[in-house]
Parts: sequence; C-alpha cells; structure tokens
Amino acid sequence: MSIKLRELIRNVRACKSAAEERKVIFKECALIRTSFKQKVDTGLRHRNVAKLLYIHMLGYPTHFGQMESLKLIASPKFNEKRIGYLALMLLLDETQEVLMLVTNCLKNDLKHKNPYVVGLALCSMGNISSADIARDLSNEVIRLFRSGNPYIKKKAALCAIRIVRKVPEMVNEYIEPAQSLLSTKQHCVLVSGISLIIEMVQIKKRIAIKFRKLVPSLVRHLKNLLLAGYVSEYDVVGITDPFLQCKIIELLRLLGTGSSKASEEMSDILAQVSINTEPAKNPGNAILYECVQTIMSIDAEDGLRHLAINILGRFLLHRDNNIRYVALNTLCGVINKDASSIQRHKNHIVDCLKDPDVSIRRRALDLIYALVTKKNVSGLVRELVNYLSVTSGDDEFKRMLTDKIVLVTEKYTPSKVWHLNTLLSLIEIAGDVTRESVAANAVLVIGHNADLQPYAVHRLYTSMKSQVVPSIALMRLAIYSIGEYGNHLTSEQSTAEANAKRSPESKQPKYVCHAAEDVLGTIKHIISRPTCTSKVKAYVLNALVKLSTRFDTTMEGEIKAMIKKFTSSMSVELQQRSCEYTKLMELSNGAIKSKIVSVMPTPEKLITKKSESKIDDEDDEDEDEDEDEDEDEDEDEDEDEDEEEEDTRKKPSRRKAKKPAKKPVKKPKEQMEQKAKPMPNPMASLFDVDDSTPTPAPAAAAAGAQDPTNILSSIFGDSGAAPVSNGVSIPQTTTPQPAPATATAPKNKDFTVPVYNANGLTIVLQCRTDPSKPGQYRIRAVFTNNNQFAITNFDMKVAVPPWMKKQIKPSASTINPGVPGYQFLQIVNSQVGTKTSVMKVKLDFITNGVKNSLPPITVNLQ
Amino acid sequence: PLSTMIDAILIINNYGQARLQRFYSKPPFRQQRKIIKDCFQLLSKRSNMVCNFLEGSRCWGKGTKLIYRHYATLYFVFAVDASESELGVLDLIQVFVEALDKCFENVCELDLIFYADKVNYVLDEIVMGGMVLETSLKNILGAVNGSLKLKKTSRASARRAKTRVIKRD
Repeated sequence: MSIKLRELIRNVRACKSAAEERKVIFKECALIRTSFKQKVDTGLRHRNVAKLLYIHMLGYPTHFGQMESLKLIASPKFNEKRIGYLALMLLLDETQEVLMLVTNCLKNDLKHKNPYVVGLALCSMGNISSADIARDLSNEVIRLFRSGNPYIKKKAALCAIRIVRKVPEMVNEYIEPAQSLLSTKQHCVLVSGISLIIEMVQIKKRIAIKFRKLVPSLVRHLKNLLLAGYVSEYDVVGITDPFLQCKIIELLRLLGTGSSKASEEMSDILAQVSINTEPAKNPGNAILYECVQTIMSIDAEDGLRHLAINILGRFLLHRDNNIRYVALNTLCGVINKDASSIQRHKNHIVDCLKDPDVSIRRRALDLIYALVTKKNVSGLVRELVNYLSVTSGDDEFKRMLTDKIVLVTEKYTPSKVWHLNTLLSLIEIAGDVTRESVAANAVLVIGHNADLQPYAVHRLYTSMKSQVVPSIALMRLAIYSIGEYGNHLTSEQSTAEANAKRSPESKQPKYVCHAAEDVLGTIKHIISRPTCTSKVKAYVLNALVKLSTRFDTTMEGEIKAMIKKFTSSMSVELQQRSCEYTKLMELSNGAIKSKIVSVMPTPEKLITKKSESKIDDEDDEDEDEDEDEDEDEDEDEDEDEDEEEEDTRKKPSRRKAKKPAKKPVKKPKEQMEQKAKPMPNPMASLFDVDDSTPTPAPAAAAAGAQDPTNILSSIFGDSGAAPVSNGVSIPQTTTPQPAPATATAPKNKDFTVPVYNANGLTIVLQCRTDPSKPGQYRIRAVFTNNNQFAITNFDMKVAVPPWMKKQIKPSASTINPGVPGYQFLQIVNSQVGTKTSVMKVKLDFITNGVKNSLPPITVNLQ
Repeated sequence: PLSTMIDAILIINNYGQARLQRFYSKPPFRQQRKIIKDCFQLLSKRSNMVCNFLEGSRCWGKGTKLIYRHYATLYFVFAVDASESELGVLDLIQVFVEALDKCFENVCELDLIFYADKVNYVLDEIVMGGMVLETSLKNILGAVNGSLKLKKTSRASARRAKTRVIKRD
C-alpha cells in the first residue's frame, strides 16, 4: 500500500538514527520500484516521483525513476507534466541516453498553446539540453523569440544560450533574433536578451563587431534607468533594477573592449553612472563594481580611469567586508593597467592586511605583492614584517606571507644588509612557520658577505639568547653561525663592526663582546632545553668542534667535555658525531684538523633538492668507474661538505663516518680519480675497434705500448708513457691467448693470468668463472716476493671500464720473502659477449727502500 | 573562463543536510554529495562577521567561488564561476529568499522539506540554466501562482472527465 509523500517525510523525520532512516528509505524505494513495474497506470506515478525527488534530496540513488519521469512528461495533465519535467532536470544526467527519448515531447510542448507549458519545456531544455536536442529544436526556439508573451520570450532567450553553448556553430543564426529582443521595454526580456548577446560574443569574439551598433541604444536604456524616478516594480533599495543596469554595463564592457569608437560612445554614461549611483547599499555597489570593471577594460581616458580607481579606493574604506573584498579583487585584476594610481591607495590596502577576515587578508597580500617596486620595497616589506609579528594563528597564511616577503626581498633588495635583516627578522618572528629555504637564504647572504658576518652572528646569538622559547629554525641558524663565525663574538673589533651595521631604529641594546665561557654556557643552556631536537643538537656538535679552533685554546677542555657527553647519546647520529669529533680533537696533526673545521665554503646559489639527489647518486656509484661530467673535483667536495653540515636530516650517517677518517687518506686516491676521468669514451672506441678486428688482445696491448693513440693505456691518464720502460714484462703479461671460442662457450673454468714479473715481484691472477653467471670473474691475486727483503707499502689498484663492476678486498701492504700474499677481487662484466672483459692494474710498492710507482698494466681476462 | 554562469544553487541547513540542490553544470551524482559536504565544511567554519565569498574550494576547482548568505538555520549557497559579479549574486540571493518568503509566508526549513517541488518551481522562475531569468518579485510570483492555478484547473478537469466516464457507464 502506497503512502503519501507527507507520510514518508514524517516517517523519515521520526527516525532516530541514520541506519533507521536508511531502512525506511530502502523499503520505500522497493515499493516504488514494484509500483513502477506494474504495466497498468495506477495513478500513483505522480506521487511516486514526488517521493523520489524527496529521496534524491536526502542523497540516495534514484536513477530508477528516470523512465517514469518521461512518462509523466508525456501526460496531458499539467501537474503531472510539471513534476515530470522537474524530475527530468533533477534526476537525469545529460550523458544519459534517456534524454533522446524526450525530444519529441519537448517539441510538442514548445508548440503548446498554454504559455506555462511552453515555459516548462523551455526551462527544461535550457537546463539539460544535449547538443542533439539543441540542433533539433533550435528552429522552434527561434520561432518563440517572436512570441508576444514576455514570459516566453525571456525563457526562449536563455534557452538559446544553452543551444549556442552546446552547438557553437549555430551562433550566427541567433544574431538577428537576439537583436530583436533589445527593442522591447520589458526588463526581464532585456536582461535575458543581453545575457544571450554576452554569451554569443564570448563564444565568437568577432561577432562583437555586429553588435557594436547597439551601443547607442544600450546607452539610452542605461540613461533611462539612471534617470527614472521611483518604479515600484523594479525598485531595489532606491535603485531602479540594478540587475539590468549591471547586465547592460557588462555588455558595454565586451563591446567597448578593443574599439575606441564604442568606448567613446559609452564613456559619458559610465561617468554618469559612477558619479550618480548611491554607494550606501549593496545594489548600488554592485553597479559601481561592474562600472569600474568596464572602465578598466575599455579604451577609457585617464580621467575616467582615475575616477574608477577612486571608487575602488572608497570601497577599501567601506565597513562591509564584501565590498572591501571586491575592491581588492578588482584592484588585483587591474594592477598592470594603472599601477601608479593604485599606489596612492597603498596605505588602505596595507590596512586590509589587519582585517580579521582571511579572505580579505589573502587578497590584500596578493595585491601588495603585486604593488612592490624597487622604490617602495623597504617600506612595504617593513609593513609586512610588522604585520607578521602582530598576527597570530593561521600558520598557512603566515607561511604564504613569509614566502611572499622572501620573494620580493630577493627581487628588489636595495642592499645586502637590508636583505639579511629581513631574512633574520622573518626567522626571529615566524620561526618554524618559515620554510627551510629562508634559513638557507640567510646562510647564503651571510656566507657571501664577510663584512656582515660579525653583525649576523651577534644578532642571531642575541636573539636566540633573549627569546624565551626560541624556534628550532632560529636555533639552527644561530648555532650554525656561531660555529662558523663564533670568533666574532669574542672579539672587540668585530663587536664594534657589528654595532656599526646595526640598524639605528633597532630597539635592542648594543651588542657587547662576549666571553667564550658565556657562549659555551648559552649553548649548554640551549641543549638542556626540552624543545631542543636532536637535529639542533647535531648542529651544536658541529658548532662545538668548529669553535675549538675559533676560541682560545684554554676552552678546548670544556668543548671536549661537552662533545664527549654525547658519546652515550641515544641517537646514533649524535653518538657517532660525538665519537668522531672526540677523535678529531685528539689528532696531533693540527694542520689537518684546522683544515677540516675551517669555515664552510658557501655555494653560489641554493642547491635545490633535485641537484642534491643527483650528487648523491654520483657518489653512490663506484668512484673509479665513470665520471661523465667534467665537474671540478674540488667543487664536488665543497658541495659534499655543505650537505653534511646543512642538511643533517637528509644525510645518512654514512657521510659523517667518512669525514674525519677519509679526508687525510683520500688525497692520493683523489688525484688518481681525477686523472682517470677523461677515460670512458676513448675506451669505448677502442673496444669497438677491438671487436671489429679479431686482433688478439696482446697485440693490441703491445701496439698500445708504442702507439700513443691507443687510449686503453690512458685509463690512468698517462697515455704517452710506455709501460715497457718500467720493466714490465710484456710477453708474460699476455702469454695466455685463449681462443675467442672458449670465451663465448663458458663452462666452469679456472685459468691464470700472469700480470707482473719484475723487481723480484710476481703477480698472478687466478681466475674462476661460473657458467651460471656469465661475465662474473672471481679472482685471487697471488703476490710472490722473490727478493731477500720484504716489499712494503704494497698497493694494487684496479680499474675497469664503465660496463664492468668490481669489488676488491683489502690486502696486506707488506709482502715478506717466500710468503705469498693474496688479494681477492670480483669483477662482473655486465655486457659479456659484446664487450671484452678487461681491467687495468696499477702497482705501487717500495722495494729495498726504492719507491716503485708503475704505470698501469692492461689485463685481458679471457 | 568562457561564460558567466551559476554552477549550482544549494540550500544547506546548519547540520549540513541539503534542503535544495540544483546543479546547472551537471557533475556525477556521487560528486554532488561530496560537493555538498565540502561546501558545508567550508561554510560552517566561517563566522558571520567575515565576507560572504569563498574562493578556491576543492569541489569545483580554482575558478569557482562560493557566494552565500546565512539566514537563521539555512545557508543559501550559489557556486559561480570567476567572472560573475559577486555583489550581483548577493542581490540575487536576496531576491530568491524574498520570493520564497512571499510564497510560503515566512518561509522556514519545514516548508522547504514538505514543499520541495514548489521551491524548485520558484527557483526555476528566477534562474534558468545557470543564468538570471527574472528578478522582479511581481513577475516571479505571477508566474508561480499562474501555473499553480493551471495545476488546480487541470486537476479539476481531470476529475470532471473521470466522473463523466463513470456516468457514461
């Protein structure tokens, strides 16, 4: 039994929980479905669809009602037809094919003698018409333009908008009908007609030319509205039909843009509207707003533009938030057209930054950002920074603000010290709301300007010390600077320099020279804070080890003690740093230590995240293997260090571990790497030659010895040097001449390759290949000392071309007579079969007190 | 940025339940639910002191602005594209509310629930296909009442037809 809609609504409203409501709805839906399935018309269709509309409003699926609404539309009864059309508009998606079925009904209803039925059809069509329906029924709609009834006319005009939107090529057919609508006096028809013309001009810009002749009549309409006395029907708080006025002004904007003649025709009336419209209430302001936009778009004279900007200036002072918002929004849009007259309202715009409404604040911020020039940058930025210090809450807005400040300071900065001051103020005020790039920028400015360093370190130290709860960003930057430039804190001369750079309006007391103990005390205090994160502590450790050379040697004991505290830290990173730095402090070689803790070189510009990761990747690859880019090694090192210090969070501790230990040892290896660099391409070309001509490897190597163009020998860079001269026994190096066939048919196979036999030292590589892993060579290098004395400082380096990978285990550096030494290697040729497996061996050792440093030897693994 | 139009007209109560939903740029049904939810979340956070415009809402994308008025228990929300005049839309909301008020004599939330169809008919006389159709209260009410009369006569004539059939039998 079907219940009434009212009853359903009551039932749903009586539900105490969402689950209960769902139950009621689903039960009702099931009943409605069964009712729909019955073939005979039960007369309940209207009621069921009305219920579906209610269920739709509650947000439940109602797609099964679509066909029923079509049946209702076809009904001759007006009330059924009406709810049918409503259901069609609400329940139907225009993508659904059901829409095709409705075309015929629409066509009939458009011809209906009752205007309300025609109105229904036009309304539905205007809301949901598809391109097909638009094409089919366009003529019917055009016919209705000539109807005498304004109710039909206005709906036909809006329906036409839908048609030209769906089928833009039909625009031309509507030019004449649209113009005819403007000859009427009825406001509603005028509004719809103008909307149609606006739409058409936007779809097809060229059409504006045809409508320009309407400008005088539009101006007349507007004038009548402006001068009309009280007309009760159209009066809105004392203004005659603001909607029509706005529409006319909007169309004038489109027609006047790009035509000086049309612009001239409308200038006069626009000025009149601007002057005579009462700005007290919203409708008046809506007209003024439209008017200003039009004046700023058309080719208006300067006087008129000033008038428009002044209206917006007045808006800025309006007590209604909406009007202020609109003013700021419009000013943003016209900033590039008349910046100078907007500058005059600068102060009011800055005031809007203090508005409690975030929408207005954001608009104002956008506008101020656009207003900043080289001239007013210091004033405006001061305002922005002041504003930043008084605002509270809304971190997202604060971040936006700091971003904008950083951008404009970078773009228009008048001096370095001002730039630095702004950045430091941001960090002091906004702290952790700022992005990391703000601190990084500050580091750059400090690093590049030695004259600012005393000031910067004094200011940061003072503000970190004076703030009750310094932000993490401030602590990090301050501690970094103290580490780098801490010597300025304890020097009288630097303090004087710092005071000289101090801005005169600063309210803080003059900087004083600090004792080293005080600085360390402050740092201790910082570490002891509960807000101090391990990241900050890591910075502290870095700073401490650097301060050990910046402060008096008397402080060294205390610094050591402070660093040592962290050797038992729970954080692995801190513990590791602490251990390493403790060792570093104990190093007897002062030169190395002072070099390590010297001032960080400052990069030219910020390293973006992308390039950072690139450097990382390069480092991860085998260092000997490939260095395609001809980067300066030193620069690379600098960047490595920067990363180490600046970005401890991203760096794994691996790099840290390297630092103290690796630095001193690295030197010779570095040199070698540098030399090895220009290798890859020549190598490749050589092997191309090798592959094409079946010359056996020894011959190639021998040829390489004489021919300096053989670049294989340049794997270590010394292309000109002939290996023979150093007593390398070439025949032995190359004795095994395995046929290529054996190499291509791999089986588990051992073979030996003699490498070197001179100076009483014999080196043989015992190779083992595994057929399941082609290209993999496990090698045991056997060193035999045939001399009477030990060979010391023995070092064998191995280099491979880019397509191969190597792993080397360390070996003893001393080889005693009669006792063979071993070194294990594993080499993998990733392109076995196409490229030869080859490597270079370089030997350094001392025999009988004579240092031997041999040129590289080529070894062919076949 | 092609045309100035209203994307959607919503009435949402203070609990986030939709009391009217008209989407002129037809998004899929699922998304309609989400849009209403998003709108309400944005609006309910705003105090009555701040301006009636809201930008960059997630549901429609960047160009769309929400322009709303809050009357007692109901939010009247118009989602419009960027080129629509904000102040004009505020006036339009005023027209809509006044029309409802005249039709229902002091409109309240219950009217919107029990006479949802009528609310839609009133709206259809003010906005059509996302464009302003009529702003004169006299014309709006005239059209609404005119079709109401037609509905009654069509019902009456239907009843007469029915009785005639019965008599013939």
